[in-house]
Amino acid sequence: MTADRSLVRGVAVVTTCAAALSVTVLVSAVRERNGLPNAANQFLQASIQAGALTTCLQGARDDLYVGEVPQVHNQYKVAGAMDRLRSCDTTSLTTALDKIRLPPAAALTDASRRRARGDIVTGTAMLRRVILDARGARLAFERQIDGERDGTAVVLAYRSAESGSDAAYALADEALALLGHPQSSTG
Amino acid sequence: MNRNGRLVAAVLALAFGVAVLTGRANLLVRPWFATVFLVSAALLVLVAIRVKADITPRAAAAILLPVAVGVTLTPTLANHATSDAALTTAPASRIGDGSNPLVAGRGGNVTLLQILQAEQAVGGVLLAGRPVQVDAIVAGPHELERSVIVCCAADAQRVAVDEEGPVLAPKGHWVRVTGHLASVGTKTVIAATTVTSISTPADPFL
Repeated sequence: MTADRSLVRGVAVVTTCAAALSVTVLVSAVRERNGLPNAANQFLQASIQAGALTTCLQGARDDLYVGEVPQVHNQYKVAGAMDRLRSCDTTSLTTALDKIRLPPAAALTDASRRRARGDIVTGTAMLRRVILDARGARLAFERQIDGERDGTAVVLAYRSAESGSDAAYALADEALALLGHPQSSTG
Repeated sequence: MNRNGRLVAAVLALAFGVAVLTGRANLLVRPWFATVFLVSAALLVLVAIRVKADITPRAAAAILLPVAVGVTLTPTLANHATSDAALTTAPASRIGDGSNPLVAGRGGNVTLLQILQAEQAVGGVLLAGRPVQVDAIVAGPHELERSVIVCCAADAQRVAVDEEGPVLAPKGHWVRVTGHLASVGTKTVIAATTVTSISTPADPFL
């Protein structure tokens, strides 16, 4: 009788643990399944914001450069580029990136979701770098304004924004497709 | 039996102490952890003196196995234990890290981790042009890597930075690269001017 009770108790403990584990795994999988498409869409919006920042930085570069030559001794050109650089808004992109709510990674998931998550994480890091580069260019150009100037920082920030926004858009596109929500079907 | 337990505690205490004194602890944990090793050694000495522990030979062997691993571990072997996947984002800060010269607006002798941390902190545009010198392992014709640990060798992860300039030594060789940082798109790379081969450092981890 005692042995039977112990066996029943043991089976009950194992069953309860297995049930609790199954529920946890299932809940996290459902949460990821529901949350990832939203995160991918928010990431897509952020990559579009990065495109706007790229256009602004391109304007600053065009204000400063004639062809490949920076007009660093032309006060009007420098002032124009500085004004444009100051007007390049990084707050919208920061806000868009802060809105991305990536659900916790599920213990059991498929390769598509794992890759989509990786795309969002990689792209988000890339866009954060774009923001830092835009701010860095403004800071570097402001520091140079009274001394020896060169337009390298502006060009580097523009190139960073251009390649970052393009790559992020491609990653967002891929993530949405992997999650079964290709852009053609998103409103 | 009691003598057996005391002997195990004494051997462990000795192993912790010797590991710190010879610098071998750096193959297992970060330098700030040496204090924990010394405290553990002191506690184990107390255990060896005062506690009567009943340990079977099998349990003693299991406890002393890590000591055998620690004794036989070499810098090259420790470095091979690192995970293959490179970190996409470097740890922002770790206990015991000093100030990062790149974030402070300087250059000079830096680590790959400091380059990645500075990139995450201020971006690549502000870093472009800074002169740097790094010691690293060749991961490809134009890729450098190091193993980074946050606590212990068990959590070692790769960090990698691309190099522009001369083709590096064969994969797995240690090199000292001198040059300056450059920003290429959203990546920070080392534009190398000189690359020289060096021997494996005593502490292969960052």
